[in-house]
Amino acid sequence: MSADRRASWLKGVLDLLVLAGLTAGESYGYEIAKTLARAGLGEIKGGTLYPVLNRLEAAGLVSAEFRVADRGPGRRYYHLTDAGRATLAEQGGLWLEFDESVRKMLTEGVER
Amino acid sequence: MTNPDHPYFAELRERLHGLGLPAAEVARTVDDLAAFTAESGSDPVREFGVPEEFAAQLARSGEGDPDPEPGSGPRAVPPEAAETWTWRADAFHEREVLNRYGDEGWEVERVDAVGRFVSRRDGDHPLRWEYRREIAAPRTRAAVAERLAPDGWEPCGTWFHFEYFKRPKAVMLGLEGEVDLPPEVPARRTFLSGRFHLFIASYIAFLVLLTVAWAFLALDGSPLAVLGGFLGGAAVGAGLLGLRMWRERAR
Repeated sequence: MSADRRASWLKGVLDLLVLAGLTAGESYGYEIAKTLARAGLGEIKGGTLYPVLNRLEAAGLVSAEFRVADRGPGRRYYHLTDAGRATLAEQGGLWLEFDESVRKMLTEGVER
Repeated sequence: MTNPDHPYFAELRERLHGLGLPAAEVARTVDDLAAFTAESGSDPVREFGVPEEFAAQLARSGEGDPDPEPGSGPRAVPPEAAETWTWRADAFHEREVLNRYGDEGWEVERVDAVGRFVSRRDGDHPLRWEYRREIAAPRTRAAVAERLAPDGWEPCGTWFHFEYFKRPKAVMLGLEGEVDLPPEVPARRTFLSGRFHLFIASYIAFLVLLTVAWAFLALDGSPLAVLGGFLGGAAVGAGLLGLRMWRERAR
């Protein structure tokens, strides 16, 4: 039950978390997933992450570039665009307002 | 030959219904299993165990698990409504079949206790998937998965010493790694290659030759010893399959 609930929360904010993860610089899928896991958000599998990256790319919020590696098959690097940065600021702010309302009400309810 | 009307499958069908599985899924599963035993010529009880226990095992394995991959944690985000398709292929060409249907958006979630690929496909613009197979002992599986993970490969099933991995083609192709218009769910559920049929025919021919040679050339006059050898080999094979199914249930 708690795992399902947590998954639903994440679904609503994963795109913003990916944008936030790219503010530190370009990254590729596996590293983005590791960044999210290190932040305590759980294991994000490819079947979940790549549709989000594709949507962000289609919306122009990230740009992507495939680069051949010295070893291995090469990687597709994602960069945050100016539009992505603006969206993160706007939508991230709205999420934090929502989070604040939820936090306040839940805190009062739990302490009552 | 075994058909879906065999008493074993009639009882299995009844028990699966009793456990609340959807009628269409019950029919599909029983037909698949009957087709498998018909092709392999095996006895269903020896192959799958008694219907009561096997039905419970099948019901558990199909309980809408959001993340059925063995050994992994809960899926971080719930899946959208998806189509499902369970199928089998022999080891001579299963990677070709995996990649062919992976390109149509089929994502393998696990290999079930009888060696079938349990697949799903998201409704809208599913990802295209590619697959690879590695040979790994239980103690080396984690190391193999760790080596492949940076390139986007995730474990998606184990069948004895074969470890299967999947990755979305979007890892390399981005937006081109999606299916625009997914084809229909394949009607076919069993893919046996020409090499597999040749292997089975050769194996049967070998056994026949061995038996004939024994009948004519056995000098020690101990047919029971030879028969015992055959039965012992069959028992070891059945034991290994039973052990695997038991371990699958224990997960």
